[in-house]
Amino acid sequence: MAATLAESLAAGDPEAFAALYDRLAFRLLGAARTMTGSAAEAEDVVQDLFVELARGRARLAAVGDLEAYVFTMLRNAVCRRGRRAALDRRAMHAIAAGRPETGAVATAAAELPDDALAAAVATLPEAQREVVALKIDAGLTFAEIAAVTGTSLNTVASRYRYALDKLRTALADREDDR
Amino acid sequence: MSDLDKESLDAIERRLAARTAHAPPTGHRDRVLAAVRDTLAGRGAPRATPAGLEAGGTAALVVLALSALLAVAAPWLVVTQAAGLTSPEPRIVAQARAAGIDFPVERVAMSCPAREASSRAAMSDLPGRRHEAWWLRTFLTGDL
Repeated sequence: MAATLAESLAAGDPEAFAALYDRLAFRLLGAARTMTGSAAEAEDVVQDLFVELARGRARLAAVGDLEAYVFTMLRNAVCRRGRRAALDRRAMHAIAAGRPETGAVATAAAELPDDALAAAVATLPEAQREVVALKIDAGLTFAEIAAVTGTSLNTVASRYRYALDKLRTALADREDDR
Repeated sequence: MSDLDKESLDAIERRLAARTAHAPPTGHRDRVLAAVRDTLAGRGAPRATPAGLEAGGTAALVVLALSALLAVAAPWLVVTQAAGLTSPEPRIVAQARAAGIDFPVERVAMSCPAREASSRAAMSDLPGRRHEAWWLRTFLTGDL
């Protein structure tokens, strides 16, 4: 991505933010939807992300890889929401004790198209789901995902492979059940 | 990996990719950019977390400062009180002295087990209080 976009963003140019949205929104929304399991949640996460970018725009001038930076912020925003949701769930369970806990991702999976696949994705461990989101939805390379998640290239590749394996098994089980 | 394995994993990958082929929802772009413009213009709502942290941090600093003050002052008060430097002379003693009677203050004090015990307890805790005061002072001045 051209350095000039980062500079325009840092200068607080609204057109630059529009350009960034046009360039990345599709991939950001897709990745956020896979990570959170909810289209509505993904929209909120992306909106919050842009507000955060505008708020901390001074830092953007020094950012080398703007795309990696934005996806790292997206990942952090999803993690924060996940933690907050977990706290909310715990509080709700404290109030309504005895009700079985259901994960936010699993309950929201039905919102996604291709229900069987969405349900299977929702059962993946968070780290694997994140790699799938960044690879498939965000279109990042393994090297870029490693940079975004702060893990090694091998770890990212393994997580992706395990995720696909699990999805294949889960989908085959579902088809067997029919 | 066998060919069959690779083929089925590729199929999963294609299915995942097909799932994501959806444009951003209508109005989302406008909402996001309006929020960005508000933020750029300084009209955005203040961030809840940092503001809360700031307020909490200030409150914590005030509490720490008061605790430090107390921790520093308390041993001094204990010592001075034990030495009889700060406690005002009882009125009866002053009256006795004015009447030319030498009131046996020391003997009365020593014959009071409760006061003696509490003074000794306070004195024995002095090193602990001094350490606490040192720690708080060091923490507040950032010398840790």
